[in-house]
Amino acid sequence: MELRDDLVLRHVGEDYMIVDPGQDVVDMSTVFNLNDSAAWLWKELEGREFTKVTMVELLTQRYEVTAEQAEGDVRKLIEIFEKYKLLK
Amino acid sequence: MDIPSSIHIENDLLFEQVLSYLQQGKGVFIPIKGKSMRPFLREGDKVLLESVDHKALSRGMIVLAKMDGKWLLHRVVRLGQSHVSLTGDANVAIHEAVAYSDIKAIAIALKREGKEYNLNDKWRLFVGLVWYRMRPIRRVTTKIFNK
Repeated sequence: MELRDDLVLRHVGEDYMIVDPGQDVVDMSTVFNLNDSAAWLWKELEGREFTKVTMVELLTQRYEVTAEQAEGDVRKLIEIFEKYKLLK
Repeated sequence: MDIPSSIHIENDLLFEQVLSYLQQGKGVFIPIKGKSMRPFLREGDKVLLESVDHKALSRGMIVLAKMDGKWLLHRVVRLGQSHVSLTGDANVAIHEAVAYSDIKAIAIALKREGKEYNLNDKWRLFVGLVWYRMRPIRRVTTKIFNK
């Protein structure tokens, strides 16, 4: 899978958010909030093809989590990506 | 790790973003929160904002303004020399007087249940102002219904 390349990750205050900036119109009613680790992962995944395995590897290398924990998080994250159509 | 969710952003941070997009010449949809513009705007609606030309302001328009550090999306009811009077459609007594420079954007369209409506056609502006002029009656009915 691949993230949509028209989405922008922005650091706003203490939060990270993903904005869909559109061509002429920006919809601020559907922006998404990411915490530090999700935002870090988003940046790592930007502009490249990846799989569930890539995501789990990235998380376990960077954070002190077991593969099982990372897998659980990754599954939830992918569900969200799909639900809100954040993937290409 | 927390998963991303639909977000609640502090108003200041949200509108900072909104203003920067408006300055780039883009339109920006924002979600309606609160009840101050009922019955014309309600929670769940989105309005499309555009950057404002102060000369093009007219009574009945709904505008985004910053007053005393707070953000308002209210209707223009009077255009004065230096100040503009705004009010929420749900209000029966209050006005806000803001400087022209405090008006940051105008609402041009409403999106409700997938349909889009022009907010600034003559009919809608007229109805908005008629609603405003009905304040004395609305005050009475509010009292009756609140009993």
